[in-house]
Amino acid sequence: MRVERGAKDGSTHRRPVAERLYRRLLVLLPARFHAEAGSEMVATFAAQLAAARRRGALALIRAFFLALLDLVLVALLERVAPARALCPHTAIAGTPSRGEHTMSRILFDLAVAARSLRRAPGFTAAAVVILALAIGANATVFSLVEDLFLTAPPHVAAPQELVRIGRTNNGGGFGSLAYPDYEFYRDQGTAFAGLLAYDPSGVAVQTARGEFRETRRAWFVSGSFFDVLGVEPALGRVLAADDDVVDRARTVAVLSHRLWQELGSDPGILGGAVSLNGQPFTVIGVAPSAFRGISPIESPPDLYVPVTTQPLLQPAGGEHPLKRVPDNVWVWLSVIGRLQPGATIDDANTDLQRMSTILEAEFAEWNDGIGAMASPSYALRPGDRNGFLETTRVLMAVVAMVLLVACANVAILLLARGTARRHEIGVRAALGARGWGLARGLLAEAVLLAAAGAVLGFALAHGGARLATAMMPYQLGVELRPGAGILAVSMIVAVAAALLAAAMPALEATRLGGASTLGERAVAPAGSRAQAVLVVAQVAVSVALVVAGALFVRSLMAARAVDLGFGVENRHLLTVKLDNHGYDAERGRQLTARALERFAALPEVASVSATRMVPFLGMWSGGFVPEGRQLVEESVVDSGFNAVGPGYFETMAIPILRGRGFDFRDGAESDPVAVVNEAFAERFWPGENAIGKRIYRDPVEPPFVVVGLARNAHYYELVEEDEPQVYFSLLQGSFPLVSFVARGRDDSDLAPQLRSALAELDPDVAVARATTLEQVIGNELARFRSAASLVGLFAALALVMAAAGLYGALSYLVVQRRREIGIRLALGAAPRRVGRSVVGRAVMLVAIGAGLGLVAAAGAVRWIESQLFGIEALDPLTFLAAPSILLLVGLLAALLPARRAMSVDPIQVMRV
Amino acid sequence: MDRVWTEDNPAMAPRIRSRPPLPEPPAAERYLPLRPVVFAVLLSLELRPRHGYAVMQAVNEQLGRTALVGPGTLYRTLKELRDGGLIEPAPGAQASEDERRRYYRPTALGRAVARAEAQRLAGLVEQARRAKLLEGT
Repeated sequence: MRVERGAKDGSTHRRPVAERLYRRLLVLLPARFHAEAGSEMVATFAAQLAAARRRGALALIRAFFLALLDLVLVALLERVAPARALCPHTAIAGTPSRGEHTMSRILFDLAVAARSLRRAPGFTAAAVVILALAIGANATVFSLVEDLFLTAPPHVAAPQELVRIGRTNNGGGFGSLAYPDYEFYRDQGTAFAGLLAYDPSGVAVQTARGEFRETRRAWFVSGSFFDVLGVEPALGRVLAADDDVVDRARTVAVLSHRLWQELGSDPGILGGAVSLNGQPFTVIGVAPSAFRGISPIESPPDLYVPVTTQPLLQPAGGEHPLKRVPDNVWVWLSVIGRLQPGATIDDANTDLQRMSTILEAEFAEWNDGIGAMASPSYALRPGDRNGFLETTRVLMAVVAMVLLVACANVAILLLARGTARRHEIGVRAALGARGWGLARGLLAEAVLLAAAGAVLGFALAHGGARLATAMMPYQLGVELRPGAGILAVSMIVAVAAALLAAAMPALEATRLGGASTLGERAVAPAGSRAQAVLVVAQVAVSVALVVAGALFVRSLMAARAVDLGFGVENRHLLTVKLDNHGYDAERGRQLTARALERFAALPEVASVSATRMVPFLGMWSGGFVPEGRQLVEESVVDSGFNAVGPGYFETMAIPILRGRGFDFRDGAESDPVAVVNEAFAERFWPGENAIGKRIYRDPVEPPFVVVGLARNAHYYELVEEDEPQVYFSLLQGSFPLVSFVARGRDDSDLAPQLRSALAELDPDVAVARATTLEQVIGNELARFRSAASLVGLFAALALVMAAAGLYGALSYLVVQRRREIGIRLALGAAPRRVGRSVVGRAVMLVAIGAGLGLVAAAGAVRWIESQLFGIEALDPLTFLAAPSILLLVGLLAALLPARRAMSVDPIQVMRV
Repeated sequence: MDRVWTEDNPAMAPRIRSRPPLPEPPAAERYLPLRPVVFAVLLSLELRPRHGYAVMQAVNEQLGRTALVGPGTLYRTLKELRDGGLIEPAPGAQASEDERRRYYRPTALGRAVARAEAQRLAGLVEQARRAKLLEGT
């Protein structure tokens, strides 16, 4: 935590948010002014705020916003006309140059605008808030884009030279690499200055040092990892090339800054030992605190160990991870290369192709058809990057639309104001003001509004960024923090928005300036056509947004409603590593069985079981020979499979249709058994009874006898055909990783009870993961949820703005036509008819806007089609509901103006 | 021959004329009328040196609640005054409470300008009184 020194008493505390924000906003000032007065301004602001705080919350908010307005005004002034020494009022300085003249005129315009805005606080507040909401939404999405695509990861040197390397299969795909292939590319590559490899999924290690004993995540990284990235250690040294030689791996570790702090921030830790899965590792260094790896979506580990210590920390894999073992290859490493100076991505690809041809020839058994490809998107795999781009593009389009609606809204407000000030403008025109001069005043007002809106919007984006991070379908490794760059972009967007918003009112003003409006009072309402156009535009954009929002919301509902074939509620998962601390097959099985008994005895647990693979977190598939086929290679069929413990089907609520599920009798001593699902039985034994059939995995091992038939379920993802699946008994095998599944009696968190019950059995067992099935499925739904909530939120925002715009436009219409309405009423028109005409106008505007919006939406839905689930892009219900909602909102917005029109008092109006 | 000025060519060098006399120190009256904020700042510093926030408080009190001078406007004004030689940092008082705070006091010129403005305003008030504008208030 960053702690700054206290202001007066020297005590340490975090400065209030408002002050930190103010300090950050000082970047608006020109550098010289900032340097000269910045810190004093902050001190003054802090004192002012402290004084206001004593007077209550309202005074505090007022002081805060006034100080912000003051800052924006001064920043603008300082940029166009920096403060000059105060000098006597004589012509010593000579006549102002043309530039100075323009400057002073702009300043004059701004000053007049500021005064006039201050006189209309309601209007100013409404316009600033509308702009701030839209700009805040834009700034939030910009900061997302900045963080995902534009910002270089901290501490990484010259990121433009980095490329990501993926494994291709027959020219396609972009997968992880095998260690031997990485080694070859690293040693033989000519286009690369260096190559690094790491396993971003990490490994759970039981970390112990003194009293400290916890499960932590380590990354296996190559010795070149820090070197290729150009990352310097905060303390000690980083890994070196000779740390990761196969079979001679050094048991050394680099700690993350965070873990080092948790261990007491002791520099003396260097050279000390830390125990990882019971193996002593020497601490050689500490990574810099801001270093968070390469990719924004990989969560940084707690420590880094040489990739070649993998067999030591995860002995279950045997030699597979690092060597070419007959029939097998482990592809598990993410690889990044740094190009030689002057080398291009094409050189890299040519080089990779040359090398993979050699590998293919030499190691045909493993590398037939295998190649490698370099991608300039070093931080994200091309597939992830495309996913991000797609989501981000939709978000950017949506916030741009919100901004358009906001512009239209502010334009309506400005127009209304302009119309209300028609008389004043007329006077000014009569006194000789030209159209352009009048328009300039409006533009100046818009610019001021935009600047204030941008500042407030930037503040909103700080909160919004947190919201957006929480809603993103991926876990981001970092917290989004909109910086000065985002503020600058927001300013530009804001000013552009303001000019857009002011364009039509300004045109209107020039028109007014030409005509004499002094004498006329009951002419056709000026600006009403422009307002009508704006309302229609606003409604159209809102309808399109509501359609998009509704489609995403309905996708989420459809995804939620998918029947997965197993129960999700109150299922707690505790994943345990059983491949260290001297656990072998037998001891692992014993621990599993004892843990199952212990968990079942917990009063909060309704039922419990264990499984090797957790649905939606990866599943196995493999080749089998079902009974009835010859035991030859051609008979092998592919099926998903898993190993599950006693009581699994009951705990997961997967119905057993025939036969039985597993129980404690299905252990190592009894005959191998299996349960198959309906899809398996129907595909391989159509029309036959599956119970009692045999399944062969290996011609020499005894076959598995089918004892049960289970209903189909989903195993990998939400959209899934019914795939054949075989379940084996967990207690008949040996597994390095087992997940216990406990169904609770209610929705309370069971993790602490499960953990402590496990620790009683063996305190050294590493818990790799504690989660719930709801969370696992929730992550699967996150993509839909984030789209639905973000787009839905923005659509709601646009809807509110459209309603406000419509309300504003109608209200002013009524105000303008007061005289006319009064005359009508005096001549005997029924008030209801008058009211109906107002409502009629609203309905007409909404109908036109909605029609246009629907046409636009129908054209645009194909952009989001790929992100929808279980619903047609041109879903008729959605396309019917969206305009209906708008119509309803429009009617509500028209209600008050209509009532006002009906209650016009003819006498009062006519008296004037 | 190029008719370009160069320092090396004596023929082309600009003829040196006699220097104009140094300008008199500006008479205080030539600064009038002062902007209300400027006068308020000078007035607030007349009694004792103050730091930024104290000046801001005093100024806002003098100008009434509507005038609202924020930190930005204040330091812009202070800069104008300092660059114009009307105020200067007060020695000694600097790092007394917090090193971020600088104290200011008026220079002789600043004091003279403030006095001139006060006299001008007093004259105006006198005229207003004679015009019976101040009766009944």
